[in-house]
Amino acid sequence: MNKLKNVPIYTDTFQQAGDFKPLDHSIYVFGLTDEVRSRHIADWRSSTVNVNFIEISEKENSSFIINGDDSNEIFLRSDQNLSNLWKDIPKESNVYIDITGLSHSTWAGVLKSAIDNGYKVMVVYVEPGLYSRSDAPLEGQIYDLSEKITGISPLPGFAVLAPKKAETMFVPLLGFEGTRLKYIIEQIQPANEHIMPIVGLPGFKPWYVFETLKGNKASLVETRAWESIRYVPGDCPFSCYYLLNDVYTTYNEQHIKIAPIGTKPHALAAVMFALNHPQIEIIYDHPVRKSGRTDGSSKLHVYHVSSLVKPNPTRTQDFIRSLRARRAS
Amino acid sequence: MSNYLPRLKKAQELLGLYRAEWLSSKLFDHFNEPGYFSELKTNRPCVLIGGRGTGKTTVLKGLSYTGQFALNTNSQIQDWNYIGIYYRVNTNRVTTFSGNDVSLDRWISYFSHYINLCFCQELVKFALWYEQNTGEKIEITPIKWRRIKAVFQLDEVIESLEYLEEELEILLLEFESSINQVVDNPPSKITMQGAPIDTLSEALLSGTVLEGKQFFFLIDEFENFQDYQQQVLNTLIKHNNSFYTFKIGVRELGFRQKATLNESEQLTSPADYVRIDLTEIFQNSTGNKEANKFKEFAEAVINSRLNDPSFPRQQEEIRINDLLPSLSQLEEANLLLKNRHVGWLKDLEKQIDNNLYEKAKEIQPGYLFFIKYWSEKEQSKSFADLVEDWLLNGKDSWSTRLNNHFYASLFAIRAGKVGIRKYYTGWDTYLSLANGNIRYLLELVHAALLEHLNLLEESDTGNLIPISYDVQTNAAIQIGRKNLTELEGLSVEGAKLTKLLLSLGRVFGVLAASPLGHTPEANQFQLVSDSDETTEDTVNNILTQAVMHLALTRTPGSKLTDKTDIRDYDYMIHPIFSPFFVFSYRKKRKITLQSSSLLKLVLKPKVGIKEVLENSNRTESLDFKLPDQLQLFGSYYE
Repeated sequence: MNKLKNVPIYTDTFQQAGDFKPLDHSIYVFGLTDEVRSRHIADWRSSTVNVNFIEISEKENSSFIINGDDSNEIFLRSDQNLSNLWKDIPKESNVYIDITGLSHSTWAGVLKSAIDNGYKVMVVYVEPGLYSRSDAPLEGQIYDLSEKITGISPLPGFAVLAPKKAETMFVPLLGFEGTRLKYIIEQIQPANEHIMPIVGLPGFKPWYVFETLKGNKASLVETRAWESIRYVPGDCPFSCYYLLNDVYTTYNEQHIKIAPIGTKPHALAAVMFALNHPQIEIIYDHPVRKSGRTDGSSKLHVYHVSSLVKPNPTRTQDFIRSLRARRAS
Repeated sequence: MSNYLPRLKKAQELLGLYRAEWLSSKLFDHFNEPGYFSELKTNRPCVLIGGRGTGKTTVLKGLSYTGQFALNTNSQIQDWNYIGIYYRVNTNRVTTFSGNDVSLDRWISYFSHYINLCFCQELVKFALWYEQNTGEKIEITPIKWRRIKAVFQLDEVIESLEYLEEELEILLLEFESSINQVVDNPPSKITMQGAPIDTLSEALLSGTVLEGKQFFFLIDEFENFQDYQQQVLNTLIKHNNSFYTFKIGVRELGFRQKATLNESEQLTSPADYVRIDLTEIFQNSTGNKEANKFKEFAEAVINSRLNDPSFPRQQEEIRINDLLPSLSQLEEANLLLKNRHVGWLKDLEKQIDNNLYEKAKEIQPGYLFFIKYWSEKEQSKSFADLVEDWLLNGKDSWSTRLNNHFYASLFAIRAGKVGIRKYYTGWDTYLSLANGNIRYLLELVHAALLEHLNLLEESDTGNLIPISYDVQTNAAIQIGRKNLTELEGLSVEGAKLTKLLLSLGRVFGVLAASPLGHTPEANQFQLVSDSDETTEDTVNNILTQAVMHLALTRTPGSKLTDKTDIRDYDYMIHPIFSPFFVFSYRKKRKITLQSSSLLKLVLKPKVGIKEVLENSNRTESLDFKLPDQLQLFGSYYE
């Protein structure tokens, strides 16, 4: 934890969503859900100056449309499609990507595109007031995965088919829903001693850390992974990023698999890390959105992602070139 | 005199590593060949079908070249007849090849290319391993190198395995990059299905030091492939050649597609592959011979862990049979009664003459209970009358009743009471609870031994102290509960399976606790259709999932005609759950369930349980107090 104090945390935090306003002449990408916290935009939208709002409506895991235009479907596995989002937008513009109301698949793809197209990117996230109670199931309650997830598959555009190393280090970023962890462990079957869970501490609320541990207790005990738990603030993608970097450096002989099933800021850390290190693999179970999942809104964070992640549209090709160069020498 | 404590502690540690995936380096130290192992070593495709924990992964890893290297320390690598290449189907990789941004035809060709690259990478990895471990060079002729270059459409000439390994890695990375941009940058240089595997395996085997050997592609968790992907693999299996064949590990009902990419061409057994069904081989339902196969294998597995070679060999062998003593039915009844019979004797003293009373006192408490139990059925005769009958006509005159009903009556002794209501003890009982599943068996013995060691504390143990009946039973309950709570995370449909199990378990628990006047030991069901097509489909899907994830077991029913019809089977809750719900693990008699009732058990448990119990003439039975271990799920039944 001490080491974290020496590294920058590029975050602006506002106590209420209403205190924030995007910079003039910026781009604001967002999605709406029925959650109270995704409605904050309406409060200040009318008072902004020359902000270009792009509303995303998700079609399914691998595509979306913008501003209600059904004729122009954008596929996440197409850089060209995604680049259309930034058509005619000057390179010096600031781009805000509000991930509060978007699924991981979508915001991860949009973020990658915005960064690789050279924009200064800031990610906006509004904490919920409260999660609905059933998200932290008690022992003895039955948790229906089929109502909650669609199954494991890569985030579109982030598939890893050629891992360099045979052994895996599995890093789940934990949320309340222990059954999701159970399911992912069952699917990827990491060795017990190669699981390093990350828990948000402090959480959005003081008691969330206990709910997280309680919800995941069965798997943590069964695999003894509780012995390896690491903690980083639940609202800080940068702290989480640095921790992932520590893991990556320490276990450089292993293939790192990250499961971002906890807070969105932690998921952002995973995606930022994958953009800078394309060999790491993200394991995700794609939850189904349900109405009334959270209630109210709390703090708003603006994460200056571009400070840490630089444009690199040829990241895989560069890696391949380096392999070829190594061979030639 | 030997001290058993450190040995048992070591055994407990080894027993705890009950997943092949967790055992890693230790996997082969305690590898035991199951009886069917030799069938897998033939040069034909085999499909090994078995539930989670039946040992498929262990066996396939045992066949792999690294497994054989660890196991066959006495033989030279050069002498092997086959080379096993282990490949586990990784869900996160194979689900990449789906989505409606690309047509199915294109996904088929991309996925086929991916499999070509993966399998060839594994072949090269082996070849390099071989050269390193034997010091022999695999000499591939220039013409074959040219063929390899052509089949992968490489730009440069390749002439060494190291180069090929690097090229394959680069091809895979380029392919990965294209798949991530599949809409605007689709992969080019797609290889033909199977062609690179054919070319490379021939190059490695024919005219080289590996001449005469065959590659086995050992594909684990075949069920993780999507349907079209199974068809791609089926096509490879159908057209396998002398250079390679396939050994597939798959869960029961996980081999969903039998067609090849040519829809009219099906894989059939035994023409195209040898089907090895572990359920048929290992489940004790199909006859004693099969039960013994599992027993023999299980004893080898457990005893090798009980007697780790790190302890000096001269010490007396610990045998699982000695560690897990069993109770006879009569002993169990006596134990469950806890002297309740004393009160009955007192009442009896007033009702029968002194001579008979003196003799009645000699009757074993368990039998006395049975006479009392029977008197509640025979309304024309009192308890005293029946005791007289027992004494005057002898126990033999009761033998039919005892044979048919004594075991069932054990469940009634402590029905509704706190604490243990029925014992589950003895090695044979544990074998029956595991029902051919080696992981369940390891879990049971591990849990029992762990608690036993906690009770023994840190004392020198010169004599082997057997595990007590209470500890054995509580371990069995605990493992039932563990597997019940694990169900929800096993599959996306896990919650439905948990609900089905909680409801059915309660039904059979109540039936077992009130056996008098009913069919004894009813613990199976057969399904009768009574609903529309959609409901029937839902029920079929739930049953398929339940069998696949070991919530239920199924055995061919008496009217077996076609194995594909779900109704031709009798279903039973997996015996591992019987101690948790308190019913008999012995496969005995069945009830009939309508599909609408089965669905209610899942969707409206309270209504469903009541309905099924009423159909079995148990109206008030829901008032039965839940067994202690079910209290956790109390809200589910209220």
